[in-house]
Amino acid sequence: MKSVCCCKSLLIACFVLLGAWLLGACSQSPENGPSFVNIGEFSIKKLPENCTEIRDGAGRILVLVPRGQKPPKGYGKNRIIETPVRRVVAYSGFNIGILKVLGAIDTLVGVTHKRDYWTIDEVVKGMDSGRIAYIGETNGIDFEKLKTIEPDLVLTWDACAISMINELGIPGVITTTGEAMDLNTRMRFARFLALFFNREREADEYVAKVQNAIKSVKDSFLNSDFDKGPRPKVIWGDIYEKRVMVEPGNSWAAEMIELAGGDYLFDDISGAS
Amino acid sequence: MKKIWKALGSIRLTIIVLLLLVCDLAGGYASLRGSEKIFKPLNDLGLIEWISTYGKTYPGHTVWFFALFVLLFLLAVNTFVCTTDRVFVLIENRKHFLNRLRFFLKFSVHIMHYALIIILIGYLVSYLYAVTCSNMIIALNQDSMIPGTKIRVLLQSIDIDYYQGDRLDFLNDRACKVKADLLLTADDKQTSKTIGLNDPFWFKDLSFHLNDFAPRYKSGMQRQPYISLIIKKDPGMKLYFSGTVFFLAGLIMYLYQWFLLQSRKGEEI
Repeated sequence: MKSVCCCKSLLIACFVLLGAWLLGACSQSPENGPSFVNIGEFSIKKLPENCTEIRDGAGRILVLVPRGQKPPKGYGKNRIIETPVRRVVAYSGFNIGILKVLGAIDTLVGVTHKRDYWTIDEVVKGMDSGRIAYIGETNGIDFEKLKTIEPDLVLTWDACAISMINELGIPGVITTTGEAMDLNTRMRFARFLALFFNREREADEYVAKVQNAIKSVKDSFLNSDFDKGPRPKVIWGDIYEKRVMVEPGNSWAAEMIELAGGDYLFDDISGAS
Repeated sequence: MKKIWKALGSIRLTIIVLLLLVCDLAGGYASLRGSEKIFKPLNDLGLIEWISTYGKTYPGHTVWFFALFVLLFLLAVNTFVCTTDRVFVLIENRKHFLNRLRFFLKFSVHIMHYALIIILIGYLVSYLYAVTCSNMIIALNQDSMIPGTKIRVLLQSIDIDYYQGDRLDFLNDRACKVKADLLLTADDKQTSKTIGLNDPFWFKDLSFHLNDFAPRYKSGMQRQPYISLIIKKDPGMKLYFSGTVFFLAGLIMYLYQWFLLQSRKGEEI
């Protein structure tokens, strides 16, 4: 009987400690905001002296340091990014779209598609004026040209390019993830990118705007006749010569389709974009 | 003190902890679905850093994991106390054993129990002290310095076999086997190593694992060849391999004892 009581006491003590920890974890300082934020596979961690440690889409750890400030110890040269970034090369049209939304498109100095590809006015005008350079297609980057335009940062989805970019003394950030980004991550990615340009306020405004738009799409579907009948069947993908690549069910595209009242046919598949 | 020792070694505690472990792991399985992104960084961040970031920020998703720690700690303590008590009893009663071999074989179960504790400690040491470079990307004919070391790694060649056949048509032109030749330079000495999928190697207390590679397809958009390595310095590895060896030794002793008993029963019949 005594040993049973002792067992119970021990277990109770352990779970009281665990509960105390949980209470501590749940309470965060409201004045300074969260010191750690996770956006899908990206993460943001505030460090002392206005520095920020980030984790990119490939799990690489980099540190953002205000210009003129000594960087914290423990980070390699190619993992230190001075902010605000003034000259950026971007591989992805999505990243460049976010730069426009953040009001930082004038920092763009290099792209990986020719002029005819672009529909963003600022990019077209920038290429016409020579401010934005075409550095070659993604499978054939002209690294000599990349070096001459002297970017502070390269935003890329190509993991292989990182080693070459780092050899040129330029930090690189991988902006895609192993798993497809869900809608929440895709939307809040603007907050991640905003850190490089000190545009957090613009990012918050953008995220709020997108959240309202998503809500309105969802409400439109719920209030419409579509809700009562069979849902349209939808697939989202690209057709190539020998295969068809589709977005998996965990992707933002699949989530948007479901919110808009569609029946995404690949919602049972999970994986990379 | 004796009461606490007795309570810690109690079979009732073992049963309670095991049942709680089952419940906790069931809850953890349900909680883990859809929140893998919270736990994936545990592989390279280390336990303390992970607790201070992901662990604290998402308590609703991680509470089962912390309960698991508490329960495993209790299980380890309970196992240690229970086993130690029985070992002492066995040693005190050694005079009752006429055969030295049979007496020695009686320790088999206890060796397995101590081995389990060593394995658990090994995993804890690994989570606390392992240093991981989770995504070291090296292009073909390029060398890079491993962060935190003076070792350079050069990717000399990459040999990818692509599936060609009719049996699994959807796998055609997809990589099914990869081998990469690396040249490691440390202290002015060069060493050649080969790495493949599920085929890591060790070099100067570091383990090298192949994480990713390109091109994965023979056709389609041509990617520049590269590999991505996971490089790990893990002090816990020696502990849990030792624990595994001890466990195997205990198991072999137990099986030998069982065969001995069987043959003795056969003689009696």
